[in-house]
Amino acid sequence: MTRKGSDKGASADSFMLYNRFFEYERIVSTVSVTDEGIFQAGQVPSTYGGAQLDIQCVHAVFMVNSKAEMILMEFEVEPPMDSERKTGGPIIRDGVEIRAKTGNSDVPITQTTIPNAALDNNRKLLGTAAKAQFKADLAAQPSQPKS
Amino acid sequence: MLVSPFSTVMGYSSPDGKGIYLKPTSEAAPDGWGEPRMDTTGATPVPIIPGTPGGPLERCLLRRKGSSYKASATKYFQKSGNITWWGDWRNPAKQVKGKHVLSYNGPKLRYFRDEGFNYGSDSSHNEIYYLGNFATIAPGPVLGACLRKINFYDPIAQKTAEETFIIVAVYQDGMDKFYKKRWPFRLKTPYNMSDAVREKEMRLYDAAEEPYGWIPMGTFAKPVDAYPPETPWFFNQSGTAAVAMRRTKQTFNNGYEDVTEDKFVRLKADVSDSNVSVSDLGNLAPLQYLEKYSKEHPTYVSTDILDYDHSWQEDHVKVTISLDGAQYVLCDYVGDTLYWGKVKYQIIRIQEGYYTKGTDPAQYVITYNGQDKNISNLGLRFGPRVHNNIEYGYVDPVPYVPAPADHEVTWWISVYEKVTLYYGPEGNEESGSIDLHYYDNGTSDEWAGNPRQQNNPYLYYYQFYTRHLRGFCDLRNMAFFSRDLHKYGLWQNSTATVSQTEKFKDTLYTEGNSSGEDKRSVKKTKTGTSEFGWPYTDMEQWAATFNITLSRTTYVATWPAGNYQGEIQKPGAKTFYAGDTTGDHAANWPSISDLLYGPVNQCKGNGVRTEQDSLAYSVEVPDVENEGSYVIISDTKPAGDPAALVGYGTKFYPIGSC
Repeated sequence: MTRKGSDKGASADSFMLYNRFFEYERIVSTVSVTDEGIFQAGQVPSTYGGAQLDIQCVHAVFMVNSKAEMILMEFEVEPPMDSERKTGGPIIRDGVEIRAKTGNSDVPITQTTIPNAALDNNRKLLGTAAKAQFKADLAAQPSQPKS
Repeated sequence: MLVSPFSTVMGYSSPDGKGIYLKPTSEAAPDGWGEPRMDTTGATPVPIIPGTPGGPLERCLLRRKGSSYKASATKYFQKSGNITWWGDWRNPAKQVKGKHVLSYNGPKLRYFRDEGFNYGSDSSHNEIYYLGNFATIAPGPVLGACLRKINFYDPIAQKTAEETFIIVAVYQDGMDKFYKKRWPFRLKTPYNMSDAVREKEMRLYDAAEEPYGWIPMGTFAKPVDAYPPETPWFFNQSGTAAVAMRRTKQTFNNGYEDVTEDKFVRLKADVSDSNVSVSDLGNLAPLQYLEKYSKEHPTYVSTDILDYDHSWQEDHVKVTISLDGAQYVLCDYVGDTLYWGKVKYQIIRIQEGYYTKGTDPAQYVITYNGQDKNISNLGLRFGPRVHNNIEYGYVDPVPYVPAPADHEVTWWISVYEKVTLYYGPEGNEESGSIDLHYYDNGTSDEWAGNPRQQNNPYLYYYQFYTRHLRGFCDLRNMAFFSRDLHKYGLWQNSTATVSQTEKFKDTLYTEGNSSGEDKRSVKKTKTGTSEFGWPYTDMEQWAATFNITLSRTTYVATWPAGNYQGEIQKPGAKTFYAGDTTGDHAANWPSISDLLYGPVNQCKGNGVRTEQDSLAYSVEVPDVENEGSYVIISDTKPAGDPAALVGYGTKFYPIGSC
């Protein structure tokens, strides 16, 4: 089976008929989904005895295309509770507090950045360049939402 | 509930519900706490503030994880009963998941009637529980229940398939009735139970309208003069058989007259896929009471220091009463093996009276060769010169000074009493035992020469105790909780088959003793019985009275006209069953009722043994050391420390397990 247009040349850009993105990295946290709501990892109350689903919850995904352009997909996630059913603790991402507490919980919410381990070296380089550009763009446009 | 679409599942913990269900209480709310378990603002649920007594969510689930306990209270796990049926493993490859367990309500001591429990007095008696939820509601008070796979033809689907059924024995219309129903493990959560659901669960089978309804399997009419059921039917693990004890009235001739007494009969049900047949196995021969009198009349001649002959005669009168025999009192299945339990009496009491005539005063002084000589024969006569004085009507004249030609009386009472609860598999029913009552004061020969101590009439007690089962008894992995005269204790089978060191508790945890230092290391090399309880140093607190009644306390010796020998009265013989050991031949030995039933098993709290070998009990009992006060005792420190574990209440009672 031959692809249409394959006789027009072998350039990677001209080859793609659509704007193709790959996942570069994602920001995750672990939560426990219970019958009584979503709790931070390890914060399910000891008085709870029902079913419990531990989930790696994705907060954001960085997508990069072959032109080293990055887009950020952010997901609205219900704020997890601590063991006292309080919410709004500070967010610690990769060891750095990126947001002060907004609620009455003092238990920090830990988020981790996980690079896509399946990428080949070329895509890693593309992603690194894209993220550097992304940060530069963010710095130039401080009104943009901080991720 | 909102998480992102790219989220991945890392693990799932099923709502197991396995463990022991506790009901926290306190002085302020003895019926237990319920929702809300938080303060009035709802803002700070920790520490949990007691909520509505008797309200919903009054129970919490205590689960053992490794060596520690975890407590939880949710609306999903609130239901359990104190009587359990243990089936096969839920997952043979993961036995940590435990067995299929159905639970329902029954008497506290599992095998023995509880005067505070009457089948049908509460709608909860119709309920069957599984994993902390409702399994179903039976059409009558549940006497027994099990799971069994049965090939079932569904006329609607027109096919036969093997399905799981609940088989149940209920008490309905004055009869034992057996039903089965298809049960695909559909649980009814406690917070969703309603009268409508309850009513639907109780309906009979109809292929079109009620395909999951109850299907009758058989009816067993109450034996003549039987009491209503007081104890459960126990199904075997496979659900192919069940056994029960039933109390009946029995009229019979006891050797003298017609009497009516209580008796137990053993009922055994053979359960097939479609029907149940019950047979009455009866019981053992009634207990045999015997009394026997004998008399000997020896004559004696002895020579005093002055070579004078002194002659005297004695009447030795011996009264022997005895009680022998055994009665089955309990039954159960361990897996698919049928176990019986019986109370066996070995009692003999002997009263010996020595009536001596012809003795001299203690000082029988004559003048011989100008010297005063005491030629009394008092020190020459035979028969015991020591007395035991166990509360009977004899008063020893002190000091005794026999007059010439008077007769002296000395007595001896020998008591050996042993009442034992034997249990074991059918055919080897005495492989295990619990001493319920033991008393041995020794014989006159053993004590001859020992002076009686007026201030210590109990000197002659070799062994003495009576044990009352209380709060908890389960022979499937034998453990029972008891009270004897000196202490409360837990008896538990050790299951170690290889040498290992375990820590045993010498003392039970109480409110006043919550330290962890009351354990000792024991190296176990084989199976055996471990005992926990208050130490025997408390034996100084022995009860001050113990009734030993021998009514034949008078005998008038006649001499020489009544000089006869041999039996003076023909032996008496009476028989009786479990119920009545009183009457004109009152012997005051503990009856089966005294030992196993009635008020003696009344105490707050309960004990629970799970199929996963967890055990917990917490019982409030009279304090043996402080009359009039009560003490809470429990077997495990975590379970006995609810403030730290559960977070609310000051004490708890185990309810059951699932």
